Amino acid sequence: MDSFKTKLIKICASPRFTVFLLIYAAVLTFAATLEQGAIGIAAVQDRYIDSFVCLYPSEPYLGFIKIPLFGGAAVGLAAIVNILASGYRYVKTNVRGFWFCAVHLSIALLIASGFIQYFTKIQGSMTIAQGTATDIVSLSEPKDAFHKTLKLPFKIKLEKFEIDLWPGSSIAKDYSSKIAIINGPSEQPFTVKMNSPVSFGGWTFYQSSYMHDGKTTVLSAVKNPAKILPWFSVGVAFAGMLAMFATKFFRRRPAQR
Amino acid sequence: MRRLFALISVAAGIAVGFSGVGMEFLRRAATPYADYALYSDLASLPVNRAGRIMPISSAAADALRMAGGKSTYKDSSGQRQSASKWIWLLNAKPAEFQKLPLFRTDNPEISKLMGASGRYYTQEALEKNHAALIEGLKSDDERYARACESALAGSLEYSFASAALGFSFAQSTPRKTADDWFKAIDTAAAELISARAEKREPSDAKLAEASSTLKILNEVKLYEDAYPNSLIRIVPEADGHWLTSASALLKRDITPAEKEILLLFADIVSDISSDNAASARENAGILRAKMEASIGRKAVLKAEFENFFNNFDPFTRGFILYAAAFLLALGGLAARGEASKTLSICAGIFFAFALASQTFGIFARMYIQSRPPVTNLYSSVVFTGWGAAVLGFLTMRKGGALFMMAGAAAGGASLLLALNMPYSGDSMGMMTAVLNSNFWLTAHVVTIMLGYCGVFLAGFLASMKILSFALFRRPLNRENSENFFKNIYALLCFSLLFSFAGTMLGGVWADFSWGRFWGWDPKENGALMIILWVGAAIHAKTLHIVSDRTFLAMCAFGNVVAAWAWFGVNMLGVGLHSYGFMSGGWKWFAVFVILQTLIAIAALIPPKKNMEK
Repeated sequence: MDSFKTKLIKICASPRFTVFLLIYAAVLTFAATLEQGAIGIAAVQDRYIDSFVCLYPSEPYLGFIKIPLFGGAAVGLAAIVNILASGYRYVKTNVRGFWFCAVHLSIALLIASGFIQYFTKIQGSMTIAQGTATDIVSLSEPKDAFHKTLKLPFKIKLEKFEIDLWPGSSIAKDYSSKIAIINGPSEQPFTVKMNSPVSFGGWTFYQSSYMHDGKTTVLSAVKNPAKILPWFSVGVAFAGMLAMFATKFFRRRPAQR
Repeated sequence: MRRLFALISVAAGIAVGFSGVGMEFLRRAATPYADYALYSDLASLPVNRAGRIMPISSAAADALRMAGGKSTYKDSSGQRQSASKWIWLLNAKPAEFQKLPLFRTDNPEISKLMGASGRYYTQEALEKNHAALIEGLKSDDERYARACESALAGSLEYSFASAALGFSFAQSTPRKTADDWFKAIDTAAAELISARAEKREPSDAKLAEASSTLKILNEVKLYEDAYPNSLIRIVPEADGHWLTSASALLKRDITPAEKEILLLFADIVSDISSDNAASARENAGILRAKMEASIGRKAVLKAEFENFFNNFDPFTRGFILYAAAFLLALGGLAARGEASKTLSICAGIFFAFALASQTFGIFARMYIQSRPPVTNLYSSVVFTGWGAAVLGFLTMRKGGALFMMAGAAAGGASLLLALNMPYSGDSMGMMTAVLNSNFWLTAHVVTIMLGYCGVFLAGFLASMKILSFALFRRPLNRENSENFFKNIYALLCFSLLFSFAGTMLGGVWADFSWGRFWGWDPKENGALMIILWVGAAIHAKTLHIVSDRTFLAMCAFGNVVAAWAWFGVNMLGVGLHSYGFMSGGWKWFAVFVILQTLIAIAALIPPKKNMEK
């Protein structure tokens, strides 16, 4: 008779549970994608991904049928438990075991960083007219009833917004905003471009959109202290997978027969 | 015997692969030499359309495709002719095209309105019913309104093309129009100066011509400015911009070099309308030299190379060769003994030629665009098929005929799909600002596409194993089978590695450029589904919780998941990545999904006892 602890680990580390979770996550993602046309990307994320349980779909089948599902957060949590338990139960202390741990722990870290960023990341947008300066970051759509804003400790001034076209067409080659960051008495010039953001004081500013024929620019402003977590875990996971597959398929086979 | 067949297939491969050369001779023999040589000289002159320098043949094919869905046309005697011949003749002898059915509609109501017997209608009918089409835009029937819109777009492209190489007034030629205009401005300027010197009012009569032409040119310019991406620009300026023929006439301080190029185009148009081929060729030679002086030798050579690429058409060629390879390999599978081996060798030779042809096409496009191989839906299809074919080719010796067939099927299917994508991105357009980064495009898109090709190859292989089991009743040979499963498993690991890397690099790109790693955009979801599904198949196999048959079924169904991620989400038309929105694709997508699902289910049906051994 196994102890309760061994039994629990056995269940959590079950291979069937692993495969079930992977397939369930794929099905949930598919179901959520189908809903995006109807209720939009943000609502889908809120309802099916950032939740532990949810009812699917938003428009009930035949007017009354809704299926209760585990949401993305539950799947993520279960996956972390499954990975940790499997590691505890199966991993041997050898080179292969090391790479196995590297891959799976960094996948767990990737999922965990989703949870962490959910609570620590701040994202908003700044609308700046040419020649003016602002320190207001909108955290929701300005037309919303409860329009939330945030004040930066410094001001951003738009000097000029530019659209660069491919010669002989109306296809944009680049958008850029020449800005100045006013921090107390000092004023520093920067250029925010597509694929080339500007970081200052823990915040990063990205070119997002423009209005009024280019007289006004829209920047998105992001503060994300856990930014490095997914970058790191993805890199380690890739290196580990590469090592695992390489040793598996390209190792020298011992002489047969 | 086997050697003989191998030789024959090498010869046949060369014949199809390089039939361009043979076809050139045939075509030269069939058409009057002067005529043939003229249009091949004229096809490669560089122009600018939608921001890219390209040969006239590409610009003309784009415009013709917008109007008629095809990049060639049939003349009044029913012979197929090139797009470059079309655009030159359209500028020189517009009357010849009035009654040719060059415009296409897929809407029966519009076809009826135009008095067409099938899908094609004429310019005459279009001009007569232009008002009705504009009226149709407001129709409540959304399909009809959209069809009217696309008919009008085609008409617009056509009318821009008809004055692209030389702007002219009715009853005049481009050269005369230009000369008259330049003379009229000179007359008017001289009159203004002498009037001021003599302290009198300038005479209206001497200003009238310049002023009335100016008014018309300004109207044309205004109209052109509204559709900058449909214009064909022929005159390069010193600063890298290009002018249409009408806007070159309007340019206040036109340089001598610009004026020369404008007038040379006009002269060639005049030469063609008076059937003076020798003079037209001579002028084309001079024009080419002027272009070299203006935009540089490299750009002119690039346009000429692109013109060669258009004529060579490596993707059509590749498709024919893939189909031949596939059929021969199928024959090899059905036949026994010596014949089977011979057929397999022939198939391998055709496969090699097909692959060479597609490889050339992909590299040519990379050179022409100066971009990584995948930039839009069209090139993603071609590249993924290519990748799968290369994988099939590399594993052919170890894995056997099935690997070759799967590779040939993937390569051929990709080319067939790409060739039949209507009105979509084969124009090698310029990249919008978000995508204007070769580094990220290569890192993210190419990697992810390599992942997709692994999934598809594994999926096709599994499907073929299932089918060959069902159709040929070939029992699973133990030893062979083990190798087969090992290979398919290795393929899945390959695709997991690359789809994971590609998808996550996309996340890193997004985080770097927009400050969000993951946004649950439909395309991102699709990529995630592939990773999850392949991950599930690999775990299921490694952890021994499914049978070989279920594993095969999972691989075959992987095709459905990948097709959804690649095309299905584009059809939803939501989000950031909906770059190649396809409205007509649902039908084919559904057929593919149903077929693949049936195959996957077929794998799960337990076999009769006696076949297991």
